[in-house]
Parts: sequence; C-alpha cells; structure tokens
Amino acid sequence: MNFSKKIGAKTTFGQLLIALFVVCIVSGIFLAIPFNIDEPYESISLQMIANPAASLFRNLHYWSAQLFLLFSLLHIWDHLKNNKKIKLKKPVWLRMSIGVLFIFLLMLSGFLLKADADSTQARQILYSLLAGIPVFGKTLAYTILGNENSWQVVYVHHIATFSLFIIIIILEHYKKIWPRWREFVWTSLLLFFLSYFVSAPLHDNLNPSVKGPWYFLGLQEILHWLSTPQFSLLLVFLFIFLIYFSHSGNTTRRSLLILTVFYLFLTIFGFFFRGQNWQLSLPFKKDYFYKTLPQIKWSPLNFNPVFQAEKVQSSSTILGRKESCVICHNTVKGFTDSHNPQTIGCYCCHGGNPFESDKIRAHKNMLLVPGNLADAERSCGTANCHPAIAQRINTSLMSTLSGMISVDRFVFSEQNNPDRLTSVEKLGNSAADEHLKNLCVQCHLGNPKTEPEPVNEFSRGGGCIACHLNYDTASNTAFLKKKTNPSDTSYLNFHPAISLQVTDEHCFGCHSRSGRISTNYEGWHETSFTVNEIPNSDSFRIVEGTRVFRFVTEDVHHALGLSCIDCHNSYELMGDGNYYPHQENQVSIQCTDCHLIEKPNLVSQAELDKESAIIAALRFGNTEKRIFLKTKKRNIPLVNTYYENDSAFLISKIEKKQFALKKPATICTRGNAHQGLSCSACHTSWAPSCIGCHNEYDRNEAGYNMLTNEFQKGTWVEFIGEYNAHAPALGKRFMNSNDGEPTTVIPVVPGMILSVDLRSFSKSKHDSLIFKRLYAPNSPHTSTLKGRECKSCHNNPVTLGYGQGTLEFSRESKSWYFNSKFQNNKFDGLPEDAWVGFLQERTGEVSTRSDVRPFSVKEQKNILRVGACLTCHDGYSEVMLHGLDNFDSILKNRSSKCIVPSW
Amino acid sequence: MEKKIDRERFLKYSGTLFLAGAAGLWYNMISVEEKLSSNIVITLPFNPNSGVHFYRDFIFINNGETTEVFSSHCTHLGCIISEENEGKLVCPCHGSAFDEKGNPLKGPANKPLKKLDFTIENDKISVKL
Repeated sequence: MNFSKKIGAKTTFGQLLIALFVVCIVSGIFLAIPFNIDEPYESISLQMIANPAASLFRNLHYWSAQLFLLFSLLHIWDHLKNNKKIKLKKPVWLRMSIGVLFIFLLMLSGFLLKADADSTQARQILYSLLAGIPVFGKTLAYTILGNENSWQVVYVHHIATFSLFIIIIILEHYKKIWPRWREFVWTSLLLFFLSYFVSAPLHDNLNPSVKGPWYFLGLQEILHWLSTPQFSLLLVFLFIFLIYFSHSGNTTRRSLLILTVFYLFLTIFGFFFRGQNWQLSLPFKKDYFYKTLPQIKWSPLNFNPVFQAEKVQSSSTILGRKESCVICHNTVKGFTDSHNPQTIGCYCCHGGNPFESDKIRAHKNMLLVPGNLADAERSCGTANCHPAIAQRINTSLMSTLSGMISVDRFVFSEQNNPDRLTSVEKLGNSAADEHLKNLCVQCHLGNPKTEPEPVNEFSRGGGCIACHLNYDTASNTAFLKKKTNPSDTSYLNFHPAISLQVTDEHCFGCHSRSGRISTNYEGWHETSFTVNEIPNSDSFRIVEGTRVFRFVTEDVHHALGLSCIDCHNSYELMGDGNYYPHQENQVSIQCTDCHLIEKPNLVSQAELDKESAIIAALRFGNTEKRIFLKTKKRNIPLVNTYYENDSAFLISKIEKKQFALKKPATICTRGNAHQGLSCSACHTSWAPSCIGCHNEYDRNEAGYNMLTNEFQKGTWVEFIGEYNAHAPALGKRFMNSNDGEPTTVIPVVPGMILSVDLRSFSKSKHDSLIFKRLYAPNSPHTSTLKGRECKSCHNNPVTLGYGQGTLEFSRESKSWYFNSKFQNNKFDGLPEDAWVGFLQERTGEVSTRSDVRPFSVKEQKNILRVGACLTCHDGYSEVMLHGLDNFDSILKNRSSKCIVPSW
Repeated sequence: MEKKIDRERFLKYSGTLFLAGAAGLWYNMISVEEKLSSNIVITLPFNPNSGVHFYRDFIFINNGETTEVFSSHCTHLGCIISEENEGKLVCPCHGSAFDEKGNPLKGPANKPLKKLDFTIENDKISVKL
C-alpha cells in the first residue's frame, strides 16, 4: 500500500512533488528578477534587507526545492516498496535513476548561486571532484561550472539544463506537469508559512564554518576520509546503479536501503557534529551553534523595513554584501581608518544579524562589547581580520596568569616548582586556587568586559579592547551623558576608537597591583595610610578610591614622556605563541637593546615581519628607508626606533617625540668587576616591598570569586604587614633556562615573606600554619639616569639580603657587624625582612623562581670586602675606579693603613 | 525488409558518428575556453615583509630570506586556504594542514601545495596562476 495513503493522506508523493516543482519553478522565475548574476551575493543580501517580497520568493524557492528533494527520495522508496505497480520501460527507468543525480545537481547549482563563502568552497570541491575524473574530467568540470570568475554557466545549467531534464523525467513517467489544485493549494500554504518564518540560509562570509548544503554533508564526511576523493564518485554511481536495479530484486533494494541509512547517518553526523575545518564539534563546546549549524534566520519577514531599498543599494558594500547595520548607524564617528564601518561594517565585530531590517531582530545575539577573549574568534579574530593574534593571545601571560598561579601554589606548598606552566582556566578548588580566585585573578585578560566604559583604574580584563579601546573627548562626553541620562542617545553617534594607541592608563588597572609597575613607573608608592589619614599634599594620590600612594621618584623614561608600549612590543604583550612561566621570560626587551653597548642588532623595513611592518606603517606612515633596532632576545623589531649614521633614535609611539638613544656610561662597562650585573641592579632608584603578611580563610566573611565574578560567602583574607620603598635587594639568577643568558645580578624584593593558615581553609588536622620566606625577582620600573652609589650596594644590608638594620665595619676587629632593625621571626630565626642571614648560606625554597637565590657566603664576602674599602675611599676615587679593572692587584699593593676584613 | 534494417543501422551509425563529432567539438571548445581562462598573471605591489600573505588564488610566504608563492587551493579538493593557525596553513573544508613550505602535515590532503611561478620586478610581484 502506498505510504501516503497508509497514513491517511488523500494524495501521493508524486502529486506533492508536482506541486512543489511548480512552486519552485514559478518562484525561481520571479527570483530571477532581483537576482544579479554579476554580483549574486550582494544582490541576495540586498533582497534580504530591503526587498521582503523578493526574500519571500527566494525562501519559497529554497523550501520548495528542499522538500522536493526529500519527497523525491520518499517517492522513489514508496515505489520500490510497491514494485509490482511499476510498469516503466527500462530506458525510462534508467533516465529516472539518473534523474536523481540531476535533482541533486539542480539543488547544488542553486546552492552555488548564493556565491557566499560556503558556496564558493562548494564550487571548488565540485570542480576538483569532476576534474579528477580521468580523461574527460576537466572538460566535464568546465562544462558544468564554467569560468571560475563567473556564475553564468552555473546559472544557465540551474535554470535550463538541469531543470529541463527534471521536467522531461516528470513528463516521461507521469505525463503531466500541472498539479492538482488540492495539492497546489496545501503545498503553497505550507511553503508560504515556512518561507515567511524561516529564511533560506546565506553565509555571512565571516563564520569559519563552511560545510556545504545539508544533503552533501554525508559526501563531505566521506571526502574527509579520502586522500583521493574521486573514489567517492563511485558511491554516486553505486546509488544510481542500485536505484536502477532496485526493482529487479530484494537484494539490491536492501543494499540501497542500507546505503541510504548509512548516508543519512553520515549526513546527520556532518550536520550536528562537524564544525570549523571539519573538526569534531560537540554541543557542549564553546561556540557550538555558531561554528556548527547553518546560518538560517528564524524570524518572520519584515514587510515594513525602517529604510528604503534605495538607501540600502547606495550603502557601502562590505565583504561583498550589503549590511543592514551601517544603514541605520551611518553617522557614527570616532573610528580609525582601519576600523571604519563603511569598510568593515559593524557585524564583523558586534555580530547580530546583518541581513535583518527589523531593529530588535537585527540586534539579537549581538556582542555589545566585542573583543572579549571568549568571543574574540568571532569578533576581532575572524579569518579576515586578526585570527593569528586571537589565537596567540591565549598564550600570553596576561591570559594564562601562569606565573601568578604557579607561585601561589608553590607558596601554599601545593607544588614544588614555582615555574610550572598552567592557566587560569585550570584553576581548581585547592586552598591556593581559592586564594587566587578570591584575591588575585581578576586581572586575567579573559575576564569579560560586559558594559561599554572608558578605561579607568578599575578596568580589568576585556580581551582585545582591554588595550585597544580609546574614548576620545566626544565619545567620553556622550558616554557620561548616557550614564547620567539613560534616555540620551547621543552616544550612538560616537564610537570609541579601536586603535594602536595603548596608553599607560590601559595598563594601569592591572599593573598598579602586585609588583605595581604602573604606579612605580609614575613614581607612586603605595602606603598603608587610609584615605582619611592623608596629609593635604600633592605628594599623595588616591587610587581606586581607597588605596593611598605617596610620590617617591618617577622613572626617568616616564619623566621623558615615554609610555609602556614604547618599550614593550606586540609580541611580548600579546604573546608570541609560546607559553612562558613568568613575565621576565615573556618580555624580550632589554635596556641594552636601545642603550647599545655593542654592535646594534638591526633590521631593515623590507626585512620586517608582516605584523611589525603593519604596526610601523600605521604608527609612522612610510618607513620604507628605515633601519630598525631589534631585540637581542628573540630578534623582535622595535618599530619605534631607527638607526642612522651610527646613532640610534627612538620616536615615542603616543606623543611622537624623538629621542637620541644614549650609550651606557663608561663606568657601566669598565673592567669585569660588574660583569653580569643587570642594568636595573644599579639604575633602580626604589622598589616597593611588603613584609609580614598573614593569610587565613574566613568562612563567614563576604567574598568574591574573581573567576566567575560572583559574590560568595567565605574568602581568604590577607593581613598586610609593612609597605616599604627603598633601593631593592640584589640576588642572583643563576641559570636562565629559556635564553641561555649568563648568570646575572638582579633586583629582588621580599615578595612572599608570609604565613598561611591552611587549617582555616581545610579544617584538617593534617594541615598546619605554613611560613615562607621567598624573595621575588623584580623589575621595578623606577630607573634613574645615575646609577646607585657604590656604598648603596656594598655597604647596604638591604642590598645584600640581610634586611634593614645597621651594617658596620670594625677596623679594629677587621670584621663586619650587622644589627637587624626587625626581630627574628619565630619560624626560622631570621630577621623579619631578611632573605639570608648575615654571612650565611641559604638554599632550597628561597625565591618565587627556581633559578634565583641570595648571594652565597663567598659572594657576600666579595661584596663586603669592597665595602670595607668604601668606608674610607670614595666610590669614584681613582683607586676604586682602578679596582674595577683589577681589584686583586689593588689589594696586593694596598698601603698598610688599608684594613680588609678578615673572615 | 533487409534494406529497411540497413537504413536504420546506417542512421544509427551516422548518429553515433555525429555524436562522436559533437563530443570532439565539445572537447575542442572547452580546451580553447580553458586556455583563455588560464595563464592569468596577477601583478601586485610586492610586500617584502616576512610572514604569510593570503590572496584569493595564491599564498605568498616570505620568511625573510626566501620568497615562495603557493596556490591557495588545497590539493585535496581545491578549497581556498585563507588562514594560518599556529604556523600551519589550514584548509577550511576538511581540515588538511600544510607547513609554510607547502608540505602536507595533516590529511586528507597528501600532496604539497602547488608552487606558482612568479617574478619580482620594480617592487611588484607577478604571479602566474
């Protein structure tokens, strides 16, 4: 019994097919009028935005075709089940079997004529498949698809060749081409309903998923398995063969059924579980719907668009199509040339629906604040824009916070190495991880920005726009107006610029914490004063409403007007694709890259990498003749420098001030006494430090989870000790695992002299109060033009790691004596702020890095031996300067009055 | 009767011959058309900066010392490659990956990207497609 009759329908699939075919043909004829064969993609987008009637015809054409294909297959199966009734001659049956292929070709040619990214790739696949057939493949491919740059041949085959073949098949086996009124009316009603609410798909040319039409997804899956894809055509012939012979026996019919079910399975798999690059895509994965399912508009057609078709026609063409966003938002100002919406549109950053004319529906699912790392791949990082950066930004320490997490876990004794690579995404529920979530990780770049707002002291995260969003006066005024009066819409006319002008304010929010590089650089040191305690003086500043800073000394580079980005380049800020454990590993710039002590490391404009060349061009225009400096570590071009007539120059990126880059003073490189001393060991004027911090968990305290941005009950609480600002201690980085650099003397600060009450968190008897005495390598960013005085290191207990106190040399006893300012700590017997005991050795867990340690006893003695000389001789005296060249010789020839320590 | 069969046979043979001739003409016509649409030379300003530069039909790769131009069409099924992912050129259709020398790293493609002839003259690069 006929299936359709079995379910009670008073019709047959054949009758429905005729009706669907007529609707498809008629809608196709009407669709041909607005369709422009020269600009097919643009003309379809224009129809979708501004010509709802044309859209309706297109949707009718699409849905009637899809149902025609579906019902054709059901029709064939219906007949096969009742093969006794088939009284067709073999040649007719053969043509009908081939006709199935033509139905697919008719459908596919229609799919190609959208000419969007999906269609363009499908065309390539079809051409390659056909061209790979031996002997006549290329001829066949060219005959069906024609010249690659034209859609004319595809169009002709769609409307004529393939359509005529189907008409002939219908006439040959059914003898009629006109449907019955009943089927026609019901089918049309269904199609109108479907077409009004669900639009035919059109790719936005940005979505990375290009999969082809749904009925070819099974074939796509098979193609993905085959290195010689032409073998897949055997499957097509097998289908036709089985259809042709299916009426002759149950075996072929069963084979056809098995093959069809198999293909159906592959189609469903391809539809739901294959995404970008045909990778496996699972529903619970990020961006599943965006990257896996077809871009179909599920909203009723808008017959009352808010703009005229002429306006749409005259609007800019963006990525080959019209975009409804720029029709309404055509007065927005504030963009840089590279992000002008008349060129790139709004959709590529903000999403939404570019083919929708209804305001609410056009804005549905849009990203109010694009650029967050979670959606960077479909805003800033789309394939047409910055895909490489959107990928490698995830390797940047600003995204992973690897160092911060590893050090914290190390301090909490949860891991034995502070350098282990990890990521903020891998935070669990341990004591250290909870501590990080309560107090530290808010600054990770992936922390989403949810509301438009200019950058300020409270800014955290925001992905790309954390650095690249700039409000000018107009956009800032409009933002403030909107804030005070929510009904004010003037903000819609002023968009903050997306630019390379990354100011120090962009860095400030995060980098005014922990090592406090931003505040140090500007000269501000955090105090333990409360706001009410500040004296009325310009020397104090309040940050984030509660933190009180005192002015000490600003960095010499800051005083000259240099910004953070004048030293720090795109590869060390946005990552270079490698994971690094700590800031000093990721940073490539060194003082001597600009302040040359040896032959400069140079690169010409023509030799620049693409990214550096683009940045140089955007910042400085034509740099064709320039020779740039590049970093010694990793050879990264410094695009704001140039080398000319044996001299190096720097142009500041924000203010465009030009500076001649000075070489280090002679004393910096004289002799070998200070070999291995980093520039910052001498040129740091001060560094912030904090000692005596205690951490415990309070289950009743109101807390905050900085990872989920949610309030919670219970939090780790920090009880701070004392804040200090003085010249930093020095320590030794004894191996540089990444870069093979020689051992260096570097500034260090008492980063982690603290106690942690683990019991308060775990309530476990096995946990205890732990105490750590770890110093941290530090890059204070408080450079001074003049280096530290000799005594500042050789006669200074802080520098040597003993902590504050008095360090005196007794000529009588030929010995050094140290009296600590602080009492000895009950946990380890060392003074509270010390790193190492006076003339003692300390190894093991001593630093927040595995390659940094305090001076050994031998090194302390060497330093103090010079210090003893300095108790009488001025640091710049002839004898001391000679000592830089050969100190042993000076000692040998010293006068009898000279007393050196006797150990 | 015999004569009638002969005529039919004659007409069948003639028709087949005619079809064969038409196929020859078809082949000939397409060959000419293909030639007309191939051998295209695209000339663009030469960008000497190192990196991977994507164009519609070719990928231009400059590593600072050498310059190479590859067809942007994947050797599996011709899809246009326009994205570099962690140093690999990745095909959007079936995920084939190539290194910056055009060698296949991941299937289904198993042949290297086609190298295209090019010349650099007066700061302009001409690529023969």
